[in-house]
Amino acid sequence: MSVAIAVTLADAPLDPGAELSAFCAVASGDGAVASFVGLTRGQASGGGAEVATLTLEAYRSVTLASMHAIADDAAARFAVSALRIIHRAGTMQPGEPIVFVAASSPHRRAAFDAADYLMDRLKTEAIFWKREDGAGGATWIEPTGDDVRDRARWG
Amino acid sequence: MLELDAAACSIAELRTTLADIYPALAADMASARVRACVDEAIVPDAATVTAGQVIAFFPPVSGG
Repeated sequence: MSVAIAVTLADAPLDPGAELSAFCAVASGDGAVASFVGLTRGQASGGGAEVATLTLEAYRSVTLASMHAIADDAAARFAVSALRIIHRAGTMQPGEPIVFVAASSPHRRAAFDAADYLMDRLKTEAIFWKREDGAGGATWIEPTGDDVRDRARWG
Repeated sequence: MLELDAAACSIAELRTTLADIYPALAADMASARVRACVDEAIVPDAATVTAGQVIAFFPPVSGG
């Protein structure tokens, strides 16, 4: 069965509530929808300094290809009917939505697993470069040890 | 953007060439965490590049 996949690289703020509603409308034949929203943090990833802005740089064609590859792998791996990924690029304030993923399936486990998998892959493999700017200067962010371990759970 | 006048070579050889031209890049060119991208696709170090291709080197990526 084919899986309906939609991937967006967004330069403007995203509205998770509206996106979830739109996704549920598409997924109306299924019994389960799982979603995840990532918000930018106000504290530096190393702890301490406050972050004024977070900037995500992308290489549009390659970044989109990486997002599609991750979605395709999830579609092949889990019994899902539809997948949605929206990822922000550009400069964001603390607390802004940075990523939205959703998965629908006939039963909940596949939807939970697919959303979890999408996030673990996006954190470590999607082609973005992430910079925190604040009073402490600018810091380029790399995946944490936990991110790498979470990714490794899926083989 | 840099145009290199070089024969076809592997990404591994290109890393060495760039490190020779720009010693400040040597550590990054030697790092497996810095990945090569040819004509908008990520490729392994054994990949061959030829004239006219666009090559980029990516520092570690992080999404989400």
